Amino acid sequence: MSRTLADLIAYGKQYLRSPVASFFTLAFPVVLLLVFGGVFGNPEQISLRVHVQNLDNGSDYSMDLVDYVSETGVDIVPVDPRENLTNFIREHSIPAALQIPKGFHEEVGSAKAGNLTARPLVTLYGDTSSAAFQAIEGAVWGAVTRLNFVLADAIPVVSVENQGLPDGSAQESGSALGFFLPGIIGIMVLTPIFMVSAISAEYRTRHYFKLMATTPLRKWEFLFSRTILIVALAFVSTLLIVLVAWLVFGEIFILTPIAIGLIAAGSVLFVAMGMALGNLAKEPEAASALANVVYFPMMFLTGTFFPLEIMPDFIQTTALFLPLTYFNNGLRDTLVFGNVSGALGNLAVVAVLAVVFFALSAWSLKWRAE
Amino acid sequence: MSATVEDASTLAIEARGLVKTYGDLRAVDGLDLLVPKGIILALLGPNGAGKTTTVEILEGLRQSTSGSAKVLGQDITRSYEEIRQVVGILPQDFEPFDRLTPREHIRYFAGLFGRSLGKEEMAQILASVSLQDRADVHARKLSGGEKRKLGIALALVGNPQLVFLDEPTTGLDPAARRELWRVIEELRREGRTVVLTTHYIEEAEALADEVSIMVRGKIVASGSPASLLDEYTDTKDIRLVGVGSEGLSTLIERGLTATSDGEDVVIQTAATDDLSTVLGHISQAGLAFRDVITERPSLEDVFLTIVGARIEEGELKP
Repeated sequence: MSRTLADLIAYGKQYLRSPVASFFTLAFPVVLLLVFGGVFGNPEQISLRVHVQNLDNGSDYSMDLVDYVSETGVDIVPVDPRENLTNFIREHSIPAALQIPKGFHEEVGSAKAGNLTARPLVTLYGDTSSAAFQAIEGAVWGAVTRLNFVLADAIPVVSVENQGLPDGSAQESGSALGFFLPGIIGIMVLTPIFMVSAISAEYRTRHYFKLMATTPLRKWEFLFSRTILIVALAFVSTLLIVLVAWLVFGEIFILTPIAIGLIAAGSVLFVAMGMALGNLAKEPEAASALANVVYFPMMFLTGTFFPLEIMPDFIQTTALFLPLTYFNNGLRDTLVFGNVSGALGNLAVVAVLAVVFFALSAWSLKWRAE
Repeated sequence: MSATVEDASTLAIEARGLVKTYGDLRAVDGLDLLVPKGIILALLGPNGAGKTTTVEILEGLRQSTSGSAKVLGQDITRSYEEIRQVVGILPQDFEPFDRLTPREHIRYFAGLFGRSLGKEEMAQILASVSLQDRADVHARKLSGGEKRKLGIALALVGNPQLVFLDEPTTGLDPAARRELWRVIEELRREGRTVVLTTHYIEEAEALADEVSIMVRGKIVASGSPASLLDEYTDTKDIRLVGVGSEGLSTLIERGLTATSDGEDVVIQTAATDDLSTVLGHISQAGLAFRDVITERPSLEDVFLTIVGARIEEGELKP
C-alpha cells in the first residue's frame, strides 16, 4: 500500500505540474460548461435571425406575414428590395432568407375572393440542409399557417405546450444546461486519454518503466496508482463543474449513485485505453496521433453534444461501437430521464469495457526487459 | 572468475554459464562470474560487449536463455521480489522525472522501498551525492552529472547491499566523472558491493578492486588491476627526457632496447629486469638528460595485449 501511495503522490505531482494536463483535466470541462451554459443556459436569450426581402412594397398582407414570422420569436432583418437575394445570401453567409414577391397582396386577395388559379407564394432561399434553415423554415411555416387561418376567419383548435421532465429525473430544473451536463462530463472523462497515452509512450521511450522495475514497485501497483489518480481527478473535476453550474448559472445538479459509478468506470475505461495506446505506440507522437483518432470520433459521434437521434443512420450505427456512447447514454438515462434500468445497462457495458481495457493496458505494458 | 574464494556466503554474485541469445547473436556467451562481497567489480569492455545485458540478467530485469545465477544467495529467476529489496540499480539509460526535484525523487523512491525518510536521513543522502544545494530544483534543470548523481542516490535509497552502476559516467565531462568516482569510492568505504560497467579503462583502473574484461559476450580476463598487469604485461619503460639522438645510438651500442620519441629516448626493459643494472648502463654511458621517468604499463596495455585492440569512445580500434 505504501508503494502505491508513494507512486500516486509522485505521479500526481508530475501530472498536476504539467500545465497541459492540469488544464485539460480540471479547467477544460469548466470552460466547456461556461461556454455551453452561456449559450444554451437561458433559451430566451437565444435569437434566430430571419432575413426578409419584401418586394411587395409594404402591402398589408406582406406586412402581416412579416409580423407573424416575428411573433414566432425570431428577429427580422429587412433586406433591401434592390438586392439580388441569392447573391446576398452568399456574400453574407446567412443560412436562409425569405422573399415576399411583388404582387403578393393582390394575389392573396384574389385567392381569398375565390380565384382558384391565384397562387400566393413566398420563397425561402438558403442551404436547405442546415439546421438553422430548418429552424427558420419552421418559423415561416408557422407564420404562413397563421396567416391562412386569419384569411379563412378560422380559429386554431389544437395547440402544443412544452413541458420538462421534473418527475423521476435527477435534474429538478429540466433545463437545457441539464441536457449538456452529461456531455461535458463525458468529455471530462474522455480527455485524459491524451495525457495518459503520451505519458505512457514517454515512460517507455525514456525507460521509466525499466527504472520502476528496479524498485520493489509491482506492475499492478503502478497501474493501480495511475488509475486512481485519474479517477480522483475526474471526481474533483465533476465537483468543480457542479459548483460552477450552481455559482454561475444557479443550476443545482444532484449526481445519482449510478452517475458516480459511471464516472468511476468511465475514468478507468479511458485511462486504461490511454495507457494501452501509449504502450502500443512506438513513439510519443504516434501515441498522440492514435489518441486523436480515438478522441475526436468519440467526441462528435456519440451524442456528446448533439442527440444521436438527429444523426444519419450510419453515424448512429458507428456510435454503437464507441464506448463513450454508453457512458453518455447512461449519464443521460440517470440524470435527465431518471431511467434507472437503462442507466444500469449502460453502466454495465462501461464497467465491462473498463475491465477489458485495463487488462489490455496491463498486458501491453512491458515492465521488464525482453 | 573474479573470486578466488568460492564460499557462497562470501559471494555477492555467483553466475555460471549465463547465455543470452537474440536470434543468431549470442549477447552473453557462457559467462561465469563470482563476485565477493564488499568489493567494486568493473565489467570493462567496448560497446556491444554484453555488459548491460549481463547486469540486467543479474538484476533480474532480463531473462537469460540458459545458465544460472544467484545474487546475495537468491536465485534470480525465483526471487525477483526479494532481490528488488536488497539491490540498488542505476540503469545505463537513467533519466530522472522532469517535474520532480531531487528531494522528491528520493522521497518517492524511499516510499517504493517502504521507507520513510526523516529530515536528517534525507540531508545525509543528498550530501552523499553532493546534491544538497540542488535538492529543490526540478530535475529537468539538472546537469548531466547531477542527474547521474541523483540516479546513484536513488539506487542507494533502499540501503542495498549490492549496487549495480551501468555506465555511470558515460557522456560526462572529466570533472563530473571524477566527482562521481568520489561518490562510488564512498560506497566501497560503506562496505557495499558494487558492480560497475564501463568502457573507460582509467575508470576501471581507478575504482575497481576486481576487473573483468568482457568482449563479444565473454569474459576474457579477470583479476585485480595489479594481478592483470603482472599477468599480461612483461615490460616497463624508462624515459630519458632530452637525451637526443646521440644518446639513442649510445644506448643501443650498450645492448639496450631503446627507441626515440622526439628529444626523448624510451628504454624498454623486461618486467623482471633489475632496474639498477639498467640505470648502471645509463650512468656509465655518461649521457646528459633532464629527467628520468619510469613508465608503468596500464590496464590499457593489458587490454591491448588480451584483445589486440584499444577502446576509443567505447568502440574497439585496432
